[in-house]
Amino acid sequence: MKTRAILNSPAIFLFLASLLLPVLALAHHSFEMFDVEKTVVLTGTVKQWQWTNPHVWIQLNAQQDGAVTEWSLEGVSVNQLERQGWKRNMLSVGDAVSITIHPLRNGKPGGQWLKVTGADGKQIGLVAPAVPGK
Amino acid sequence: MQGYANNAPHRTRDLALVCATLAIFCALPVTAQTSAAQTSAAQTSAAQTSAAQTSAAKAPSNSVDLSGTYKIQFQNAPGSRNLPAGQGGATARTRAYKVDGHAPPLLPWAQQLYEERIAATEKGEPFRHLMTKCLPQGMPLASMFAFYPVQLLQTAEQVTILFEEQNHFRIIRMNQQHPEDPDPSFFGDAVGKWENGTLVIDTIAIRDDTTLDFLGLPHSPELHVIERMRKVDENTLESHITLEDPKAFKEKWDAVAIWKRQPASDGIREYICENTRYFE
Repeated sequence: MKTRAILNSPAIFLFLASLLLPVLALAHHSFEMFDVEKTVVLTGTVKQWQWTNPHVWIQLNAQQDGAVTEWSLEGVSVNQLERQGWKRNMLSVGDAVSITIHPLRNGKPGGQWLKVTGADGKQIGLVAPAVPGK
Repeated sequence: MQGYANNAPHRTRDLALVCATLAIFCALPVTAQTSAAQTSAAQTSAAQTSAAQTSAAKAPSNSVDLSGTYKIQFQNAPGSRNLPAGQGGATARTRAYKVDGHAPPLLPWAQQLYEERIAATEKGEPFRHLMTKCLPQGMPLASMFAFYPVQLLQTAEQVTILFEEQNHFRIIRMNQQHPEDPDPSFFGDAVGKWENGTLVIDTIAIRDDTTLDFLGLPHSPELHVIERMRKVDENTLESHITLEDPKAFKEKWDAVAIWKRQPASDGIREYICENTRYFE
């Protein structure tokens, strides 16, 4: 009963629904190149921001162990991000960000980006996921 | 922008002039015809009108207004339940689709090809289905699944389905026959008719590089898709899809897709597939 009460909470529902979004949005691509069991947070500056369909990409100069490595990070579509509250100008070249990703399985510096946090610690482009009937 | 605003009345007037000129121009060849031809054309026209009226009288329209903006959800699709949860295969299949069903019974060549593609995906070399190359998913997937909204428009002569994803469209010609030997295409040749309020769409001539799922479930050039779409309620359409392919399936296969109406505020948008970057 306790579990049911928690699941009935709108906040928890929205949170759980938001976890599903990246999966659904990339549904037409296989995810098998990404290790979804692994989540990594990269910190660095945006080198390139490709606001394009079918997927947006971020080139990130990430600081790792005192060195800078360029990561290629694939996201969902422009159309999906817009529906989540993103706009093209929410990210710019040179921005300091932290990005949560599922890394590539093959160990190369790439991954699927899930969440971007700005230098102020706030998540960029975050809105509540669409609720049916709303 | 200012220039456009100032020019607007002129452009409207110019457009009207062009339309009027075109109308006169189009009429000219008719008036230039011989009187014999005119008589013949008039007779043919009268015959056609009469036939159409008779036909209309015999078969009153039983169409239903299905128009609107929807998302298409699979109810029954090839998929993961064949493999235990937690295994790589199950993961791959589950992610490729919203899954709640079983794969069509495939002939050996198709089964082998499908298994090879799944094995490659599980090894981390995902099958490159058409959409990963900015090509259309085409049929039959277009009838089964749409994560992004689609808009259905209908007239007596044509049903048109506009897809937000990649801005594609399907044309269904109503009360027509398939051509003799249609060229294979991504969306195939589709004709439709109304049967007691159900829209029945018959599609053939689908390119054999389209697939039934994003893992590469194959079909042959003989794939024949029949969709029977009916309105369940104001916000729901149900589409029963039958796929027949004597060269790839052991028997025909049925799937169900549910079309859920989208809020008017979330209509279809521009979506041009321009970035073909892909992790190899």
